Amino acid sequence: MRKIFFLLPVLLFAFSPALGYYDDFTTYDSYYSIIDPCNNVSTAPLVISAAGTDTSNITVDAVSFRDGGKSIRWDKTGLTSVTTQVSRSGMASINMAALTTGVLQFWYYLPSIVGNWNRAAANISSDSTYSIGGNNATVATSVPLLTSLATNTWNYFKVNLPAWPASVDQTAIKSWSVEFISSTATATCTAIRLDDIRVVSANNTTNGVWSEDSGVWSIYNNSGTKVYRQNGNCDIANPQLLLNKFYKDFIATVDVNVQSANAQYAGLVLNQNVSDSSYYLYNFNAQTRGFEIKKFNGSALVNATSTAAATTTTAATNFTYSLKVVSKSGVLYCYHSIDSGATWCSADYSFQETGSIAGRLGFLAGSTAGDATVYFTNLVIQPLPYAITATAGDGRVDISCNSDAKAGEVVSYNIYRGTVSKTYGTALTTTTSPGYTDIGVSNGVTYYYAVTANVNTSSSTNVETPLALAEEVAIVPHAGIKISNNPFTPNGGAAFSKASFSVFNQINEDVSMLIYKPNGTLVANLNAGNTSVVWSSGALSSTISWDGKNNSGRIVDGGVYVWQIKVGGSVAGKGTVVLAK
Amino acid sequence: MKNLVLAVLVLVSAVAQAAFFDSGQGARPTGLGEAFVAVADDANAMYYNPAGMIQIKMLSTTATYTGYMEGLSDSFAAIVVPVPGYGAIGISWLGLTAASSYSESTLKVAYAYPITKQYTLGLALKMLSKSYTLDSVAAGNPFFSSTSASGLGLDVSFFGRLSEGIAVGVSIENINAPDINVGSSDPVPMNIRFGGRYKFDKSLLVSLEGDLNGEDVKVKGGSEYWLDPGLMKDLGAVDSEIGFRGGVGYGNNSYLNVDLGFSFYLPSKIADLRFDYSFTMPLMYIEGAGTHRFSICITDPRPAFNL
Repeated sequence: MRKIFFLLPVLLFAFSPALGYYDDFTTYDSYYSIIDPCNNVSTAPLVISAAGTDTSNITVDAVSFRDGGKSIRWDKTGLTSVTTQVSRSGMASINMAALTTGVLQFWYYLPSIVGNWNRAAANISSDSTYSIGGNNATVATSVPLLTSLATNTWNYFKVNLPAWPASVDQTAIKSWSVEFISSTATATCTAIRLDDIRVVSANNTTNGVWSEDSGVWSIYNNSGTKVYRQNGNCDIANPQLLLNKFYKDFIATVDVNVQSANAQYAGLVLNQNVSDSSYYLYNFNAQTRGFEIKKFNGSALVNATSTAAATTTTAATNFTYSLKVVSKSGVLYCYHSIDSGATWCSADYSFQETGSIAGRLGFLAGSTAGDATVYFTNLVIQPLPYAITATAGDGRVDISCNSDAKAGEVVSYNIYRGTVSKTYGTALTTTTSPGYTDIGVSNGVTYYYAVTANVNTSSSTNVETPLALAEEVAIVPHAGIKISNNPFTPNGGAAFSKASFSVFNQINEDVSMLIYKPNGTLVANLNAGNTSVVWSSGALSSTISWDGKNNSGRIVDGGVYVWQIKVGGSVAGKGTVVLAK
Repeated sequence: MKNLVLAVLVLVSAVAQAAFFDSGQGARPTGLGEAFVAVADDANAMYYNPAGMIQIKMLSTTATYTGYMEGLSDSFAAIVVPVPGYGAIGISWLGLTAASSYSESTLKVAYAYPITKQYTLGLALKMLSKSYTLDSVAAGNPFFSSTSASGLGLDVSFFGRLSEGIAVGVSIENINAPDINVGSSDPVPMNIRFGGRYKFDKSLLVSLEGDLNGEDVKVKGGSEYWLDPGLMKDLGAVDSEIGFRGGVGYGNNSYLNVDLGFSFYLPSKIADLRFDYSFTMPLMYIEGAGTHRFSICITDPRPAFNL
């Protein structure tokens, strides 16, 4: 018996809060991390964490990323297994030989700062082992941190790499380091954590390097040409992916050059499913000289959905084309161009994917028929705002939407409004967040809203996603529910014996109201039916009243009561009303 | 005789209807499903059963804030001072505001008089006040010759400790049904609580209560369990303790509440503090309703110690 009562509070309490103490490190995951089964990518996001105290240079020793160009998979295990040491020598060495121009970016996290830690700098330097003319030397520069030193939060750092003297043999540079330096000798930082270290390079001498620059992905080969080069066979079970990045709605374009007619796979990986790794491939098959959409389930081709007619009449050697994929509301549209994007075909394919849309993107290239070098260049991803919602208010509309954009990808959002569907004119306003409160509206009028994003690309910082692809939402601002004659006096004169509720009822649905005491006891259940009247610009309003009687027909006592009104079965509002005696 | 008493209680309650609503006060009592009339062993006794103050051995206070929904909230505070050999005295204040259109308050003083070692009588006198704020339409209502009213209410309560673990309690509130109105009769109805509790040991108690208020009849029950102090010590929280509780309330007129709560007891050199939290989920109420309550108390060691 005792156990039963013991279990009652414990079990009840256990079900109440959905508290999760398990840390799966999802908040630490690198984004844009890369899996490269083809051993052809040398740099992946690097995560470093360290704890310690240093009174002058707040540094963490280098964690070398010198793996000879082999791919590294940074996953949960990788995040926790990285170890570092505390020293004054700097940290985060990155194997970026011959890095001459480009961008360095990373996220940094400072749990706490004790003392006067003045504006820090990121010292970017080569290591001390490379040689110029037989003499050891270093090359270094100091770049002030452009972002804040706020603690207990992730700060984003991004800076253009410095130009180097022409005399420097850049190919001899073996590594780089980044150093946080205090201008005083008294400051202490208890720990520093770096995440998502990524270098956007204009030149890289070893293999290909992924590069990310505010929504534009570029890949470079050892001659400085933007390219992702896949030479030879590739494992279709593990395509080259942009991981931890999910775009629900997006536009992706990429230029592809196929060097050999052997190339069997040379296209974009679409919507890889997280649970079973299945994905679609929008692909040019150089062997058949046609564009295809295929679906792979793990390592197997499960469905050759369709194969387009041959596009070229000659052997596809050094054949250049462009692919464009639009994902919108669960539908994928696939286009190709053979004139560098000047003109696009009508959609090769469009299909609705069932189930959840993962939206993970990537590449796949290779052949089972020998060498098949393929180059991918100029991948541009524009995340589209989606799930736009509008909430009506009294003379106002609150607009919000979702966006899968990561920091730096989207500069701003354009909000469009019209009174005719798909007809907006110029943008109503431009905001930096995916939301806006429009107070320039009239109650009872139907408005249509759409949102586009202005995306950073390599050629511009303000490329607007197509308005034609933007979701549209219709909304009628209204006054909601308004109470009149509050407090009301059922024992007074007839004119003041009821509390009246004016309810917005656009399509003349049934209106009902529940009256409760504040402790949850039901008092009255009222139904006004559909008794709407036109009140403004075609919008309808219903009136429902409470005369202070309970379900037994007796006038209840004075005090505050809680009401809830439903219109057409949906809660339209709730609040309090006062009965006075 | 018992049947006669019960019949009278039901008859008296049936003629009244709530005005100063009983929505429960204190995060600990509400975590117990508001089945507190026979528990009443901390300053919340001022609300549920002043006779229960006899169990309090040192000055105790409590303060609770409750937000029911946007625009509707109340606050409760109480102080209990034991008077060795003469029982205990207490004072409390309860205030409610409703969306700038209505407010009410109750100021109560109470005395717990030990009739015998086992039985205690509680008496309370309270000042009830209410005030209306009129909207533009109601402002023209000639009914409102005044927008505020007040009156005196009287509560009688009883607490009996039948054995080491068993206790019973009865509280009859507004026994004089004070008529507090601005224009027409509006008596504050009698509210009757009665129930019992059983303490298995210093860690576990269960409580059961019946409430009669006008046409509303409710049955409430709850249980409270305090973790082994040794466990908290092992966790490094020396002297502090944690208790959990849960409760259910069921009644006519669609009343069905589930309550959960916990307490954190933290002794210190200045005062022994206890933080209480509860969450009440009315299952047949307006959609999206759920009430969080937070209380801070200066109190005896965890109440369940007082066997």
